[in-house]
Formats: sequence, structure tokens, C-alpha cells
Amino acid sequence: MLCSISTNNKSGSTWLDRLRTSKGFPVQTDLDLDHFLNPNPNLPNSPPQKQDEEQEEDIPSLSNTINIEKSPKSLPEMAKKSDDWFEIMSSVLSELFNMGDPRDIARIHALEQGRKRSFRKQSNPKICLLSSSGSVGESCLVVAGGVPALSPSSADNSIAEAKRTDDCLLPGKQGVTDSAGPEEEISQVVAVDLDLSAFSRAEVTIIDTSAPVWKSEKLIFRKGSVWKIRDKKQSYASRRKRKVDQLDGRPAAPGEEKQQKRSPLPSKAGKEAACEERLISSNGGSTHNGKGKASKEAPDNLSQIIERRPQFSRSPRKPATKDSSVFLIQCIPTARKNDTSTSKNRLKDKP
Amino acid sequence: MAPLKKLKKIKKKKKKKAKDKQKSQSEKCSRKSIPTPDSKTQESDWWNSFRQKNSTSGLKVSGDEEEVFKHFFRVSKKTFDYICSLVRQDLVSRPPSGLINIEGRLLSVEKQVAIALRRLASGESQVSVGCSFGVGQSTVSQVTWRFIESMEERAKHHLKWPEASKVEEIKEKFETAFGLPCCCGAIDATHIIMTLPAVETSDDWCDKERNYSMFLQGIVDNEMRFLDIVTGWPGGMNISRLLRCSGFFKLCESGERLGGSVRLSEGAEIREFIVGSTAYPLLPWLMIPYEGNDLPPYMASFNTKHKAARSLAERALSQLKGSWRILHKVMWRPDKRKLPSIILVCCLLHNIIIDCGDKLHSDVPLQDHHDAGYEEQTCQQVDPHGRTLRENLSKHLHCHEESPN
Repeated sequence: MLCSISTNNKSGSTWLDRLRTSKGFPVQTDLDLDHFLNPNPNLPNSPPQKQDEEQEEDIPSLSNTINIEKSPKSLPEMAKKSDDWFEIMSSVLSELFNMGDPRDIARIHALEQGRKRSFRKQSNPKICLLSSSGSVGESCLVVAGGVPALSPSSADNSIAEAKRTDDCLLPGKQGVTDSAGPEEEISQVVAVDLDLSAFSRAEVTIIDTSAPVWKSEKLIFRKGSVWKIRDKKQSYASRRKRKVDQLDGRPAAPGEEKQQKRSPLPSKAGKEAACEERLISSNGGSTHNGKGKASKEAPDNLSQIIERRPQFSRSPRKPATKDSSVFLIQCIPTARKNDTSTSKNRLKDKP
Repeated sequence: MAPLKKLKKIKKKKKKKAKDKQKSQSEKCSRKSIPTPDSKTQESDWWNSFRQKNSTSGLKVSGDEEEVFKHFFRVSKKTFDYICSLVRQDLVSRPPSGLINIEGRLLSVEKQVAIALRRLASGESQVSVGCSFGVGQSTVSQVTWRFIESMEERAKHHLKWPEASKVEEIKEKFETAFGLPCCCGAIDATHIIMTLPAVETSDDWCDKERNYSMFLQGIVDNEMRFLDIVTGWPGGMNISRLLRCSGFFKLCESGERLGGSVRLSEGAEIREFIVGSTAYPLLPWLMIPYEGNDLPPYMASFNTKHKAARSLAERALSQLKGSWRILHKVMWRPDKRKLPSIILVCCLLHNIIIDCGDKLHSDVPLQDHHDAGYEEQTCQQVDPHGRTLRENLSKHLHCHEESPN
């Protein structure tokens, strides 16, 4: 009965009107529902602005983006609102699907709105150098600022920079009058991004007794009479030198060297050196650590030797010579780690 | 197929690792009883055996024992022992890594050094060197490379730029011998010729005489000892560029090397310098001869003295290539990463011979120029300050000649 009474009290109102009323919408028969979707308060059919704003805040809807295109609203304002919605949506999606930092998505969105998507591949591929990390960082910053940054840096600028560096590195060149043929260019730049696609490339190992480290590896780029020389990072030579320094020391001070090796070495490198020294030493007093290391390093070398001399692998306990009690496979070599690499390329060596 | 092979190898290695661990534990005790190869008892007769083999092969090896030894290995027995002491720690043989000859006996350090020296000195193939020692080609290859690696580290002190006091001594010797004050050395460069695999042939390595070559630049003192070398740069460069690429150039330009100067009696100033050919630029610290005909007397006089001093570098390189013929012969497809090490070790051996006071046979150095077949390059780069210093020096020499008192 109560229901019927209330129904009667709101005579003429349909279920739709009641729904509208309950939701706070005006009850009109000729209501144009488009105004709900239209955020522009200046339109004649639009509802009060306050209501509209409430709707926007409470009910995020994709229809906003559609209406932006239709409405004559000023572009920055629309973009702002669109961004707001996009951020909200991104946050929601990020929380749901773990899409990473929502700001990244917003940034990509902003970028795509501003321009067409760039090609993933460079139009003019360049040699990627380790030293170009600085420029990578720079381009990232540029992307964050909204400026297109995927285009490669200007080759002209790079060359200009290289020439500048050249002059800095060759102070004597300014004073030298070259009367012989064309100007030749040598650069020993490391951190300059150059377009070297037209250059031939060669890797060389240089020994220079005036350099702090005698042996170094360099990259040579050549085009005609123009040579460009770059250091190659993390050369095998320097790694090896470090190891040898740890292990061997200089012949000038053999006493010191032995003392150092025999003394307990707490560091990892020290342990390595100590292990190898133990294996080198002829008294065979190696410790557990030494064996551990040996068993780790040995297989390469052993396999090489066993492959080459299968007769030894068959009976490892058989003495090497008739008169000696030497057992093969027990002692792991080691004077230097390089022996491994040496043995690998034995046949290739042509010294 | 390749990945399968790799997998098999890895499996094999793993198995061996495990086996080795077990064995190393089980044979812990027995290791203590491993005898080290005694060079006195094992292979002590390598020299007799080697001499016998090579005397029957038609070589002229007459003379006393010491001379014959020097003929084959370029060094006296005393120097040979010294070299062995340098590398002993690296070359001493222990099973199973130790090198084993055909009879299954460990190679002594002495024999390994002899093999390596013979390979470097003769430049003969690994096979023929191996035959003369009764070992295989691979053993020669491995022994030689191990020797080179060891020498690179352990004989470094035989090649370094001298201390200030030694530099003063060298300057005095140059002045006494050639009349050039403040001269600290002579510079020259030579090509080490090689063949390259077809896939590696590159214009970078192809020099002006159409050979594939690698440069060696050396600065020598009055005794023809190498004070500084740089090698590894391709022969396609020219010599002036080679100089500019060197660490020596940078040190001199920054004044860290050859930075001392002297005021001459006439009030003019000269700087410490080295002498070089016209292939090099004229720099304040690098004097080259005057070019042209009909030079004034003071220039001609300078050129004469300059040539005499400069010839030290040429002779040193001729001696180097003559003593260590591996550098003189055309190397067949060497590993370009290893070749600089071979060159360096030959230079170290060259210095060791001088430091130990060994005298080389007169027929050992090359009779021709060390770079026979190569035209002399001309750089024609002139530094104005270098020009002034050369003028000062040559006029000083001329005045000194006219009035020796």
C-alpha cells in the first residue's frame, strides 16, 4: 500500500523520472541527454556547470575524449582535462596491471599527441660506442622535456667536435707547417660520437713503452689519408696485466714478491694469487683453497691436454715416465691463467 | 651441428671437473712426492744433442763451444742462464701442463728457452726448429709463446727511458762521439713484413711498397740500446704519423721528456733532442738534417754529425733484424695481436745482449739497410721553433769547429 500511495503522490512521473530525481537530474520530458556528455557549459542545452563538474569528478568516462573533438572549447584547456583523465586512468590501470610508473605512460601519451611516432630504427645507423653514454642520457632528458629526441645527432656537429678535440690533443700540430700534400687528420678521441660508417675499421694491439700500460688495444678508422684512432675499452692486455701484477710482481724485487705471496692474503684477489702461487711452488703444500681454485680452473687446460695426448687420459694413475712417480692430472697448472688460452690456440700460434 | 658439439664439450668438461675434484682429493698426499724436473739431470744433454743434429745438417759450426752456442742462440751461455733465470718461474714444467717431448719427458726450462731463442733467432719454421730439438711443431709454438709472454713481463726493466743521471751520461757520450751537445738518442722506424689471410687483407696494413707490414719505431742510445719503442701500428701509415701516435711524442710535446735546455756559449738556447731522418718532422726536440744541395758549410757540417749519430738507430735496427731473423723474414700470417709482443721481446733480447756485454758476430747484423726496398720518406713538416733551435745548434757547432779552443 505504501508503494501505491507514493506512486500516486508522484502522479505523472515515470520510473525514468524517478530515477533521474533520485540521481539529482532534472526531470524534463524533452531532455537532451547529450548535455551530460558535453562538458561545455556554454551550450544552450547544457545543465548547470556545477553539476557537470561534479559528474566529471565522480564518473570518469571515456566519452570525455570524444566530446573534446566536437566541442569548440579552447585547446589547452581541453588538453589539460584530457591529461587529467588520462593520468587517472593510467594510475588505475597501473595499479591493476602493474604497468610501471604511470608517469611514463603519460609522457608517452603527451609525446604521441605532439607528433607522429618515430621510426624505431635509425634512418642512418651509426656505430654505437661505449663512450656515447653521455649522449644517451642527454637524449633521455630531451624526451622528458617533450622535444623529439630520437633523431640522430648531427654528424656535422660531431665532426666539428672531433676536430676541436683534435686540436686540443695535438698541441704541436699548430706550430707545424705541413708543406707536404693534404692536411692529414689524426684524432685520438674517445668520447665523441662520429659518423664512421664510411671509414674502414681495424683493431690493433699497440705496444708503446712510453705509455703507462705498455700494451693497449686501439681501433683505427681510416678513410683515405684520414686516420682516426680510438682506445678500445677493457683491453685484454690491461686485464692480463692486472692479473700478472697481482701474481708475479716485478723481477726487480723478487724477495718482496715472494714475501707478499707467502703472506696470508685476506682479499679475494689475494686468495687467487695465493692459490696459484701454491700450485706453482714445487713443494706441493697446497691448501684446501688452492685445490678448490685449481679444480675450478683446471678443466679447460686438462681437456686440451687430454684431447691432444689421449694416451695420458686413459690411465691417469700411470706414471708419466718409467722412473718417476709422477701422476698425471694431479697438478693443475697455473702459472698464469693465460696458459689456458694459450693451450687452446696452440696450433694457431705462430711465434 | 655446432651447438651439439658445444654441448658435448661442456658435458665433457663438467665430467672432468667432477673427476678432477675427486682425484685432487684422493691424491692430495701423493702430490707432495712429485719430483720437480731437475734441469741438471733431465734434458741436461739438450745442447749436445742439438749440436750433434745441427752439425750433421751441414751448418758451419766450427770454433769453440761458446762461439757455436752464440751462433745458434745469439747470446753467450752466461746470458742464456740469465734469461733462463728470468723466465724460470713461468716455464718450469710440471705435469700435466708441463711440456713433454716426444720421449714423454718434461722439457727443462733451458731447453724451452733454447727452442724459443732458436725460433726467434733463425726465423725458421716451427717444424724445422722442432726437428732440430726433437720436438713437434706445436711444442715449438707453445714454448715460444710462453717464453714471449714471460719475457714481456719479466724483462721489462731492460727497456725503459733512462733516469736523469743516465740521460746526462748519454748526452756526454753523444757529444764526445759525434760532437752533438744535448743529443739524447737517435730515432728510426722499420717495417716488419708479413702475409695476411685473404679475409684480413686491408689497405691499413698495406704499405707504400705494397707489402703488408707492421711498424716498429725505436729510439736508441749511444750503445744502440733501445730506450723506447712503439710497435703494432699498421704499415699503411707514414712515419711522421707513427711518431705522432706514439706516447713518446706526447711526452715530449708536454715537456715531460726531453724538456731540458742548455744555453750555448753564444747565448743561444738549445733543447735536449734526438736525431732522426727526413721522414720525421723538424721539432724542437727532434732534429732532422738540412735538405738540399749546395748547403752552406755550417749546415753541411751539421748534416755530417747528424748522419753519424742517426746511423746508430739504423744500425740498431739492422742488428735487431739480423739477430732475430723472425723479424726480417716475411712472417706467414702472424696473429696481429701477438706480433707486437714478438717484436717487443726481440727488442728486450737485443738490450739484454748489450747489458750483459755480449759481442755479436760481425755477420749477424744485416748487411743491407734494415728496410731494404723501401724508399726513404720525406715529411717536410717544420716547426718554427725547431728550425730556430737547429740553426742555433748548427751555428754553434760551426763556431766550435773553427775555434776549438
